[in-house]
Amino acid sequence: MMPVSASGLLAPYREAAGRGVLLLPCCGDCGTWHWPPRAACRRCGGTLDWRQAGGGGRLSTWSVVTRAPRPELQADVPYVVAFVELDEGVRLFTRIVGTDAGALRAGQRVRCRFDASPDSTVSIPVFVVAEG
Amino acid sequence: MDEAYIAGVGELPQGRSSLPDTMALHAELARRALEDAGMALAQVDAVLTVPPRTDPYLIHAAALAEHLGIEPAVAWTLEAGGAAPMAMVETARGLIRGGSAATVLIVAADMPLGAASRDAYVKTLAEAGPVHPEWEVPYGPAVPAMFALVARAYAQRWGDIGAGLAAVAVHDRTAAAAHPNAHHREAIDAVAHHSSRLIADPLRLLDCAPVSDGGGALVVTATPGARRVPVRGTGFATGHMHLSAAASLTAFSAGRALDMALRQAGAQRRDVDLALVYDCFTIAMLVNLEDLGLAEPGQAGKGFLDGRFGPAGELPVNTHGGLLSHGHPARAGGMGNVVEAVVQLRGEAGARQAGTRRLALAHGMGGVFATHGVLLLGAPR
Repeated sequence: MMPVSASGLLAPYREAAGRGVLLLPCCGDCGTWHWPPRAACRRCGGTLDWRQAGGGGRLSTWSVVTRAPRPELQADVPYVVAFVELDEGVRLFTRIVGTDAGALRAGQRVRCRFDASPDSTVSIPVFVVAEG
Repeated sequence: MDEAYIAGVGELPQGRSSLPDTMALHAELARRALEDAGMALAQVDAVLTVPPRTDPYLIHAAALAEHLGIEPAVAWTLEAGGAAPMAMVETARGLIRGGSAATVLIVAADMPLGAASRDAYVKTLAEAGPVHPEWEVPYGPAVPAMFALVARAYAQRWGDIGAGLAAVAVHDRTAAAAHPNAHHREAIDAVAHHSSRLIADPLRLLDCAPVSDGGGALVVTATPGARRVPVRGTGFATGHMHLSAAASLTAFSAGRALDMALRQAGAQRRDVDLALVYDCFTIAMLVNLEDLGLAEPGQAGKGFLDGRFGPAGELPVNTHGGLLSHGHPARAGGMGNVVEAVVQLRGEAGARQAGTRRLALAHGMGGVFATHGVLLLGAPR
């Protein structure tokens, strides 16, 4: 059972991801960016809207999965899961692709791109290292 | 004025159970706890359980009462992750205080090895475990990888932690060697830790708790007695559910739970003379000890290396071997910490008895540092 869905609260996020655009919740009142999505702005209680993010950030922490938790992911191993600190000031759980884990360094610039999720009809943001 | 006492505990060897199913495991643990308490099944007027991964019942506690052949007032199943044993004791105390029950049977047990394949259990944990179905699961995080993210963040902040992680693994295994119910008792050293295979870099096999059949049972009552351990305080804290939403990746909310328990007990941190800390991974031991305020930030590993947390140290920690070596019975994680606190306070821990203990802390954690529960238990009077 693949939990990635194109409907529900994340529908605008998934739809934009399909077009290669990263949307994040942003407070319409005070402009604070958020991740993950919440019921309201934690700073001022304002209403959150989806707003386009820059897609850049820095690598925070990462690990390598060598034994996939689900059979459909086994073809991907080894893969790097990570937290990325986006320039908007939020932390996103993601994968780092295209760079061997041994070459990763905390604080490296990373840039968003979109890959098929385990459900090939749904794209999810992943990150590539944007500097040498 | 204490209002609740743990009158009996029940435990079985952790590891692969030879019992036919999870319900039989619950029944045997209940029998042992009641026998230890010197009480009869007919006295039980409340049953509390956690939902085992492998049981199909709508209300597991009611199914257990039915299986035991009793008709208690209360049969409730609590969902609180690895902090559930502490939540169950607090619930028992509330039932007793409010007059809804006088004798509460608590059973937290699970049988991931005997009732399902280990791989099936790991898959369940990765889909319906502490990871969010929309923001985290699509990236394929195995649960050890989530703890590994914290371990790397901690190392980025405090420097190389390999020696500290190894010291925790060796500490727990050394303690477990003296415990007849422990899942893993064969000796290890730091070299064995460093050379065990990588599970989720930087965490290795010996940084991870095993998947165990097991758990334990408690009997909680309002009446003091010679071997009855008073519940002096309880405390809880919820910081997040999913690591993606955590305010920090290196410090969490366990300390807030201990603050609450200390206020209830009228005690200070320095009064705690035994700490049973939730350590599903070695990194969890370090971070939780620091968050609880029992080690300075970044210094918990040093406490294991210099013997401060040893059985004869200033503050003995996880004298039963922790989840890492005593065992991690799936949904029942954390119950071993409560059982050990009671046994040590009664002075009945045999070869692993850490002298005379007066105020023991039993800590449980749900999710990836998400929720915390703390019991402060006193010596029998």
